[in-house]
Amino acid sequence: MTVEAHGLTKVYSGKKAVNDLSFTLEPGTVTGFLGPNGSGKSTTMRLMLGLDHGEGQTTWEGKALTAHPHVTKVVGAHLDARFFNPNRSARNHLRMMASEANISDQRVDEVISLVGLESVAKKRPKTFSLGMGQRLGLAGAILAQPKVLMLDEPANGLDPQSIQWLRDFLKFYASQGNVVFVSSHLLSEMQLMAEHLVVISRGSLIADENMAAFVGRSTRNDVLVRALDRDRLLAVLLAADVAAVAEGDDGVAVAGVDSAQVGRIAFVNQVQLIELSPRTASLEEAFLELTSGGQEYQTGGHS
Amino acid sequence: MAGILRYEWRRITTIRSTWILLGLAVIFSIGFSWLAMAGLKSATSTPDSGLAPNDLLITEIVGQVVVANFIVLVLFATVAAQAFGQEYRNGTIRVTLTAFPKRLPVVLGKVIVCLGLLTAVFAVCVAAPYLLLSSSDVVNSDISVSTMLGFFLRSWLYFCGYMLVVIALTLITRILALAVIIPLLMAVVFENLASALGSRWLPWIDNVLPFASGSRFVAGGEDLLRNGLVFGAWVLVLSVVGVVLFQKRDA
Repeated sequence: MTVEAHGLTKVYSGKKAVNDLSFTLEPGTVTGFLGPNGSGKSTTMRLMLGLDHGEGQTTWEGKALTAHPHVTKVVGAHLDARFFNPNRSARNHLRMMASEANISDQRVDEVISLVGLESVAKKRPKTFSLGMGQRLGLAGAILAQPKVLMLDEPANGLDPQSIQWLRDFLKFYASQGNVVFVSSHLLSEMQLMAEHLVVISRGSLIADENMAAFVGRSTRNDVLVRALDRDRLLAVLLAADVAAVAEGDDGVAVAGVDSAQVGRIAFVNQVQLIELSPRTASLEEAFLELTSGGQEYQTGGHS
Repeated sequence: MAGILRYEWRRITTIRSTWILLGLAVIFSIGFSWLAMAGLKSATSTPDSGLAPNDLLITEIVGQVVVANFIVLVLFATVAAQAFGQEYRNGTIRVTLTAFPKRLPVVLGKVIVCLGLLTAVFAVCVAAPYLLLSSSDVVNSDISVSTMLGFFLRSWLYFCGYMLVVIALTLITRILALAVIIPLLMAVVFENLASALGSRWLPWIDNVLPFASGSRFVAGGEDLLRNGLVFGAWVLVLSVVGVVLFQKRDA
């Protein structure tokens, strides 16, 4: 199933929270949804699900969500770890959610086991931690084995083991031909999990591309080259019109060219190298660089 | 539609408070009837009370201790208000509307299941006192079947209307407590004040007040149709406003 969002727009009190957002979610892929706080990620998800009213439309395999007979088999959404009645047991919460597509209690018990909530399944979730709430929300989202999983910050409150489990699970779920659309502030996690990114800032689209292309756009991608005669290396690189700056005692950071070109220049000029390493920006670095100034709520400096 | 009915049935029956509130409604109905019966027994056995056995019709007593008893109505109203109020309070309305993106069937499903369950318990709340009182010799239970059925039907219609008002107010305010309190204040305080204060300048005011009209409709007598229509019109207007807002607003 392919999900297409066209021209999603949401205006709050004259201010555009989501501004003409269009993107496509492909099956078999974990798509990360990134943006600074207040950039409109949650609003976008709600617009896609029809929970919020705005302009634009989202089609699910070419049809509106309302045109599908069993919506829970199309999309499973987990938008908040606290969306449950604290006085209804976790199992009954899921049994209630299972009603739409008449899913069996056996499947309910299966997902409870999958997310590791067996021991508290019959307890009222009012004492659940944030992580347990996340697990319950995730259980609800995957209950009907939907073609699309839409998760808003599902890793918040999870311990490292659970985060690793979530990452593996979502990758596996996508590999089954499903769409996985997940927002997270844990960028290191996102880098390990997502193959495709939709990045927004102040409600507008910044990027809709694969992870490598997005990270590749960062100016922090460079090549570290170390030589016995660092000054000579720097001189030949500058002479070749390459952006290079000294780094450390014997290194040079080279931007704008790949390591093969740097190696060739050194070889031609007979400079002996002791290291030649391409350095790729992390997702976090690329994200911060490409969304700089796009924060809705800026923090102050160090006091 | 079957999906939302199943969903709502599980929602309403898997909350302990539903059963506690409905159980209390039954207990209070029977308890108030028993108190009324004891009070009438005492009154009719006192020569100077001016009240003789069988002076009062059984339907009048049941009407007072159950249908017009705001303690009982508030218990039912709380269950009705939970249909949307709890969902908004806990955020589960987004879970519900993700599974059921068409909002009108959600309202219909909730109303059908809620009123269905409440009607079943309301029937017990009316039938038990009726049987209890009819077994005593202090009230006049010698009434025709048509009178009795008419009373039950009008009581049920009023009850459903009251619950619909509560559900509509939950959709309008999104606050459970307000949806329970507003009709109560309206019926007990505002309408009495309006009736008392407004009768001099607005002599017709009493005829357009919702709960006063509803109560007269349950009691029967003159202007039955007009009272029923006035109450029904209020229910309809509030319901339409509630549904329109539910459709238009963000979840």
